[in-house]
Amino acid sequence: MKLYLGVAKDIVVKRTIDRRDQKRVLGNLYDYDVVIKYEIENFKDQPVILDLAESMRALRSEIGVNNQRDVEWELVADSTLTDKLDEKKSTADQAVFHVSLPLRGKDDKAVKQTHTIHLRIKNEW
Amino acid sequence: MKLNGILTLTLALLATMPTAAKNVDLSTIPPRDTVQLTIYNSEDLTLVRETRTVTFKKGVNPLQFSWANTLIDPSSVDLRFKTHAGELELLDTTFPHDKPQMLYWAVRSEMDGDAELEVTYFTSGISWSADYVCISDPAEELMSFDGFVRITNNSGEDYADAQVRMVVGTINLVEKVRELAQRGLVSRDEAKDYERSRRKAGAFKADAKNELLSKLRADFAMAENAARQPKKIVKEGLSEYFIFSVEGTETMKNGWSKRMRLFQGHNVPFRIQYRYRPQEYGEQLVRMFLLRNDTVSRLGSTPLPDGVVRLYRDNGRDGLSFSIEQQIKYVPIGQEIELNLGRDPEVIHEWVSIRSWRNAFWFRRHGASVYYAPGKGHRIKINDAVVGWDEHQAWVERIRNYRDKPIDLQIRRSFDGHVVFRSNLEPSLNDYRSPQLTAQVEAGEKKELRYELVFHQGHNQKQTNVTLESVN
Repeated sequence: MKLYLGVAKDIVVKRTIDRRDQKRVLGNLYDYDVVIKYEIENFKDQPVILDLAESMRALRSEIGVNNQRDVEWELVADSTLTDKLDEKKSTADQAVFHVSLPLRGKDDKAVKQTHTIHLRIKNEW
Repeated sequence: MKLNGILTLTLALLATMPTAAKNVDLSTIPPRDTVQLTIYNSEDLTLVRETRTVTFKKGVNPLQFSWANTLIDPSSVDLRFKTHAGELELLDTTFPHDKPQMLYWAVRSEMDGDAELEVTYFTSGISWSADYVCISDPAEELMSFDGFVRITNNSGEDYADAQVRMVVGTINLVEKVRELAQRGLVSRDEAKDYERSRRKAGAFKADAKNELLSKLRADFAMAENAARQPKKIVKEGLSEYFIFSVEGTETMKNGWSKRMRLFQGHNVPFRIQYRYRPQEYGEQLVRMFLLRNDTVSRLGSTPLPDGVVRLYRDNGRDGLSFSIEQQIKYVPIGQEIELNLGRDPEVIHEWVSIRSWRNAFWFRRHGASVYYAPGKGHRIKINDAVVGWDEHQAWVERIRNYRDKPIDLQIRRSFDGHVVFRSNLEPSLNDYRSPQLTAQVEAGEKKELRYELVFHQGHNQKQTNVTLESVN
């Protein structure tokens, strides 16, 4: 059972796409290497576990590739969140990661964590 | 005989009938001796057979038959002599122009005395419906299954002490009786004799209807004895129909309904199956109660007519809880009855795509209808475009059973295109595009049924069907 309590304003996540590389495979067939960077701060006075869910269709559209086909994707090993992938909750269209965030420090400063996800979106045309 | 409509049969005592019907001297209103109603639900049609005793005098006797404010089909009214048939002759039938819902029969009699007549006709406005009450035991293994029929008379006429029969099945009727009854009969010029008026009316197609009437009369003569058995509802097959005869007689007043028991089924075994069939039940896993209309299931004495099933569950604490109300279609003897209880909140079903990938690409060279596949060693150029590929999808059906009993599960999905269904689940094909999985999920178990779909796309598509492939 899940209870939705509202938007957690004390958890701040800054998400940027740091890299978008297009590589031709054959003919008009391309692979795309995409690196997403997350800068995460927990301003709560208790530790939390943050679930990050990345929609592959939305991401493909975000990098300017639009079609109705399913997204063929894989997580490249140099991602910092590789071992945080929840394979049970992830689907063909959604990658789910769990990130542990420590509580705010004694000086009231939140610890900023930086993580990257390196995804390869394959066989697009 | 109390009439709401004016459905009367009268004898005019004048030896000769004047041309103007208003001058007929009516002195006798013979009551019905017997009346039999045979109700065809599929066509809003009821065959009425009534017998009356009429006193005749030698010579020509005019008989008046009227049907004001009723829904009788005038073209179907027929007169026969059950007694003294050799001494009575129907000379003609006249429809007076100033009395549109009336006819006269001119009967020549060679005797003085009583004779029994049979008048048959079709009417609309009498209908019947079936309904069923089922009560499941607390363990949901056995149920009582009781059938009822409800007869409703809105024909405009009371039928006292009528034998009532209900016909299950569809007959072929050219025109609706209600339309014929409301159309009025014939014009002034057409009123000279019955046969002529029928021909001129044209659209009545009375010959076909009389043929049907004759066939029904012959059929019912065969069944007549059964209808007079001691009080119970007798069921019998007849041609393409099935007839339920209500025990004894019933008085069917206009505007009234009457509900009677059709059969009782005790301790009827049933099984439960969970089904996912989106085309039939929508996008949900539904719980089905399945039982069979046969003697093994302590039913099967009769086909079950279309009707409403109301299902209750004995909660084991001297109370009932209402489960569903569902319309069922005609169930022949031996066929399964399927009751859909809807989604079960204690059984969770999810369908998740867990991976998607593509391979087996084909390319077409720009400006030429030549195809190249890297998998066949062909060299692909920069301007070659993808025209064929295989789309792979890995899926999982996740079922969580929170009940305290194992459940039987059946999942049926349909796919368009040229599709391969790969699994080790021993699926079957329900039709050319619908694989079907079955499984048992134990109490408290979380089960995953995994399979792969391969969609041959573009140049790779050679068929439009689903093929099953087993993987180890």
